[in-house]
Amino acid sequence: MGERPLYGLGEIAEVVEMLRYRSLDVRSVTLSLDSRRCVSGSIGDTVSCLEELVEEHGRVLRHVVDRVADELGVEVTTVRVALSPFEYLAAPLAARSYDKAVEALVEAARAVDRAAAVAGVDYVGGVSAFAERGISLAAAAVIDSLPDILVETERVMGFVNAGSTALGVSLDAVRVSVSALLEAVERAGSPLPGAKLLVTANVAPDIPFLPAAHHGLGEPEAVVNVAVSGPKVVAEALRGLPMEAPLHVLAGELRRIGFKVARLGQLVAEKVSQETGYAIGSVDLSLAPTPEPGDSIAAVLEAIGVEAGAPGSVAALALLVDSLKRGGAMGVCCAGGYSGAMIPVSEDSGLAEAAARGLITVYKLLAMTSVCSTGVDMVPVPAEAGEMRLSGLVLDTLTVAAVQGKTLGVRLLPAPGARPGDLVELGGLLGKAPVMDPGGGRNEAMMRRGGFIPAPLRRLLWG
Amino acid sequence: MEQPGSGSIGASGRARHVVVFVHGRDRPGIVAGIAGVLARVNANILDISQTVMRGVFTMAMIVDLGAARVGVGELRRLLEEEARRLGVEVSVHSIEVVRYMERP
Repeated sequence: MGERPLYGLGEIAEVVEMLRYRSLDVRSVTLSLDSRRCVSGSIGDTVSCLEELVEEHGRVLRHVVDRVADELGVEVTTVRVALSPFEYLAAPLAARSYDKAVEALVEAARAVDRAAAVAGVDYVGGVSAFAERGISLAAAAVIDSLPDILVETERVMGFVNAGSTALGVSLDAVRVSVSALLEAVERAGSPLPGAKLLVTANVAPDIPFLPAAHHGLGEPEAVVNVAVSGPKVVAEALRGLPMEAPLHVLAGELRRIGFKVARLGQLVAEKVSQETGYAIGSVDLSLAPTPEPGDSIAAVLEAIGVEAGAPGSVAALALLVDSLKRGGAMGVCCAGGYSGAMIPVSEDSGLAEAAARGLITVYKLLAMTSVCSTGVDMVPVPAEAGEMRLSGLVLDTLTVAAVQGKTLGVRLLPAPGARPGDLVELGGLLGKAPVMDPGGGRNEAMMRRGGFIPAPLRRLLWG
Repeated sequence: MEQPGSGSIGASGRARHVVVFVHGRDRPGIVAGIAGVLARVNANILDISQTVMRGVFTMAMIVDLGAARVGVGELRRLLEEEARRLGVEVSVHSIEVVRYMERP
């Protein structure tokens, strides 16, 4: 075999251009840890076990990620730890004393928050419960602990999986989750607690993004999942094509770029796994925007030729996501997590602007998310819209997920005292966005019925 | 001869082959300045591609750090200092990034 040729100037320039000038980075390296070893009948043991676990592994992760990022010359935006759902911790405690169990979860979250800060871990996921058909005692304890945890901690996040294709969608779980969220924002006097809570359906066990990241059943003891970023890379690549290029030609370019972006995630996942000894998990192929101008899903849609929210947006988004998945899936060992496109309104300056212009509405987001996963994400709404209307929006989204077999969630930012159109500033990567109207009309009679929507017919295809 | 890009992490765990990419407004002394830094830390240049288009200087080097006195991070800091002096921009990446993205 002949000697492998050296890399050409063009190849090297393309890589450097993507990393340096087109904001290609790794959004997150997330260590998913089985923390069920901390399940105990003793509150003290539970809390100290979790604190030690997060601090010990968090330090290793932070150290190795920093070293790998430096070696490769690749920015890693956040380092995260995902724990087993807190409902495991709640179970033995709630059986004895429900109130003590709730207090214990809050104490555990505070301890995890401290440990994360000490270890240099940006966020920790796992304040989570599953309640798709109904609410177990342990899941109820987690939901009841949410207001305190969301208000009092900084780095800790969680979700309530209130729907699935397997079990249906629990209206009861949706309502108590929304109620807990509203209590948290009222107490905080700010929508910020909402950034840390997701109400989900079909949450996947290997998601590196928060608040959905948790250590799912079936995973090895400790596993590294990686999320890439890169809307700007994709938008710039599309702008490099002639304006008259037809859609199927765009699809080809998107596959090519999707492959390269995914390869970067694979490289970082392999490096971190090799150096830490943690198993290599999934690479999430999702495009994840940042508030930086141009690093935006809306900018990608515009590069395709449609303003975000204008008729054609859903088709453009579907073309984008499907093409990136095709290219990306070939470039990684194991694609997983969401592998769609994130459309978090406040975190995407282009989407936020489209929302301010009235092009993006809440129900247009729902239409868009039916082809891209993630859901109605980071959407400021008036807190005064109340539990029923907001629950209706959540229920709609989760039901789409259950019926279509998708992984979707809702992350609302209820702003106390705000009206549609008011600007909500969240700061940093969380960005800013106008308060959006969750939709009018009466739904109380339906919401008061409670209960659950049975598993959709799609479920029976499994048999 | 060992080929660049084939296993660029040595037993020490340090990346040995890196790409150094420089671009900016052309002027005399850019190659000399960058190469001088590399020579001082005992980094060995394996390959250089360089061009000037419309007054914009672009250069990519593949450099072996196997016998160098510094790792990637320290080399990056030294080269960034030199690049500031020269009025150009420099990027330093392990060659694995290029291999993974361009030659899977």
